[in-house]
Amino acid sequence: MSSILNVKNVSYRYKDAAKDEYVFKDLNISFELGKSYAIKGKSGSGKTTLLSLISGLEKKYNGEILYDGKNLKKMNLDKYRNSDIGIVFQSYNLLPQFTAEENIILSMDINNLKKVNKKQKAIELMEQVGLKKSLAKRRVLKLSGGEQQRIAIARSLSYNPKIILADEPTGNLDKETENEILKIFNNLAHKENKCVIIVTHSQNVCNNVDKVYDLLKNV
Amino acid sequence: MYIFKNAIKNITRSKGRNILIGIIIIVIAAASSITLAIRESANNIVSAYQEKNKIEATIGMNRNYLMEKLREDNASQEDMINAFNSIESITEEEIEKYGKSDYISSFYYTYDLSVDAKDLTEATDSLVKEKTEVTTDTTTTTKKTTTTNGSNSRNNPGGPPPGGKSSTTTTQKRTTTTRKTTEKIFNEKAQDGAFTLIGYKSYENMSKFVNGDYTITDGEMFSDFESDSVVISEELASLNELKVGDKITFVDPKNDKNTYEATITGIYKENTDSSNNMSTMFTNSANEIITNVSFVKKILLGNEDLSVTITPTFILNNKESVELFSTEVKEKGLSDYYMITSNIDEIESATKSVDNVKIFATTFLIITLIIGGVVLVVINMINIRERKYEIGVLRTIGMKKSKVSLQFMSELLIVSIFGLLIGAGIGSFLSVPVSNKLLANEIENANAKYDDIGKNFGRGDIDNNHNENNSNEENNNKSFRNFDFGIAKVNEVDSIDAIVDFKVLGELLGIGVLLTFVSSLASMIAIARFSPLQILKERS
Repeated sequence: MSSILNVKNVSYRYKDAAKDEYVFKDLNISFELGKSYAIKGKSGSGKTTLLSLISGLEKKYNGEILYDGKNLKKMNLDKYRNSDIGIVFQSYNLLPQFTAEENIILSMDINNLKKVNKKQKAIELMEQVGLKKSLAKRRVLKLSGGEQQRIAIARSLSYNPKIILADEPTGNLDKETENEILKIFNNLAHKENKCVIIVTHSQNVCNNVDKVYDLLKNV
Repeated sequence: MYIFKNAIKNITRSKGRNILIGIIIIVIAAASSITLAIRESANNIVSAYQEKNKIEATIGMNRNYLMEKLREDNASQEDMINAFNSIESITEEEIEKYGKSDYISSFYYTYDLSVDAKDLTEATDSLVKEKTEVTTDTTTTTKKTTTTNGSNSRNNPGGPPPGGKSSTTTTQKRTTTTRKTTEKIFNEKAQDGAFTLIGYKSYENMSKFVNGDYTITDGEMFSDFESDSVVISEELASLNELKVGDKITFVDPKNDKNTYEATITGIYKENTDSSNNMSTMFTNSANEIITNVSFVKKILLGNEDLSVTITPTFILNNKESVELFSTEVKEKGLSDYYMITSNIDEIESATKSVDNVKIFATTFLIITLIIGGVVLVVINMINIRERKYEIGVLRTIGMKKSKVSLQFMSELLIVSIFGLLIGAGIGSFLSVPVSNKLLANEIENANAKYDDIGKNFGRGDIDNNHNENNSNEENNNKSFRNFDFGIAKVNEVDSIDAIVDFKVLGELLGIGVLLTFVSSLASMIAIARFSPLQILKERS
């Protein structure tokens, strides 16, 4: 199967770092649809940085990252982030003044989805990630950490992206909830044919994905 | 659309922050609407006043220039008299030439001729006290005249010389006329006649009737400008028991054998206090008799020695035209012995209080907008810093910078519109009393200054002299206050109806939008510079 995402000879160093002090150098990895991946490594190994590059939040790097054969540097990254990839963060990053349902609908609005009953779809997504319909009208701050993370996942799925990027998605959750979230991600990969990439330092996550990339410091 | 919906959600769910912004905008809007309403109303008042009292210029003798010239030449008194007499009245041709100007909208001229009249008693002016001792025999009449103040003017050409001097004269007996001539020591041209015939060419030229200073109360204005018709004042009619249809026999002041009969077609009333007018301060305007140019020329044809004063009036486009027209006329060849005078000072002094209130309102508006703008910018910056996380999330899930900025601006705009509406409501409620209070203070200050000037002249406090038994002094003080020291006519405009109308609301909306943009500008720059990754890292 061909790769949906290719990281080719990518090197990155911080602005204020020495000339030869790279976070990672000539990194080559690829990701396919229908599989789940874990990127692990020690603190400072560049896991989150790599996720930033893949998600288009950081553009200053050497090498190239190809999404479906297209170079990210030449793409509209706002559109890319809102249609081709979904991002899930460790701290959920939901808008606290909005309800669960509104957070999901906002993402659809930004994507300019039309001819869709957004409320109905938001409920369906919530149910897909194991949330009850009754939570839809609740402000997100009144939800538990696991519930908020499910809302974040539901939000990332709202515009049906091909890739789901998750940065330490279970870092703030207990083991049981972590397993439930991992189950959702694996379902998305295997049943929905998505490419799920999880940045983690959790061995449990590494044990439950299809492939693991280990980033060593100063590769 | 979703941006607008989200903006409303954000406003309703962050009440504290938005109420704070709203209060600031209400204060700015209320202050702005009051000042805008005052400015607008003041402009309307000034425009209406200037519309009613057009800026006029005329050409008159430059006595100061002539006196300086004569002093330089060490001229004798006789030389001075001759020099004054030698200056001819400006001609019709010259007036027509000067009238072709871009700085004026129209012009006209009147023929002013001093005449006597048979069996007609002249109205006297309170400022010129006359003690007349008349000794009549078959050949001579003696008259002694004393003045409390004195000046030669167009309407009192026979008045005594300045300085309150007394003069006694013996002249040829003229029992058919009511006015006996005084000693001819100053300007022979100005010694003629008790009445002033003012000859007009058309109705349009009769500015005092056009602007409502004079109104016909009985009969009507003559329609035939070739007829021997006159219109006289109520005072003159009452004094001489004259009515419409009666005839007046005018007498050539230099040759009493020449008489001219005219029919009274109307009687007019003067609606304004004539003592407000510099030109009639020391005379009684009741002696002005309105007629047509044709009748004046008829009298002039009977005696070559009679001299007429042609008084041009140029209606200027605006106040800037005064200087420009004056320069143009000089360039066209007006002699240095003549000068352009205008009523601009009179008009400006009448609206000075309103103008001062307008200036105060404008200054207050500018200060309010600056302070309000700065406060809004600061609050917005704090707001943006507080909502940095929200910006980071929106950017991360793919919202464009421009849309994030638009949403934040929409929130401020919605709060601003509500603030503006409430502020305009408060402003419309307060603008009338505030503006009238300001104007009352202005008038009070101007009057206080005026009273101080009066005291300097030994007039004492004007209000304290308000005594029915002392009408002469009261009249003097009244006239004194009306004298133009640059702050005269302070009561001319004494009320501003400062109403918040659609124009003010439109200006207010413009200010609101401008303030929103200015205060949002800083936040837009901040949003553009924020790195979502950095924000989310900081948050984590």
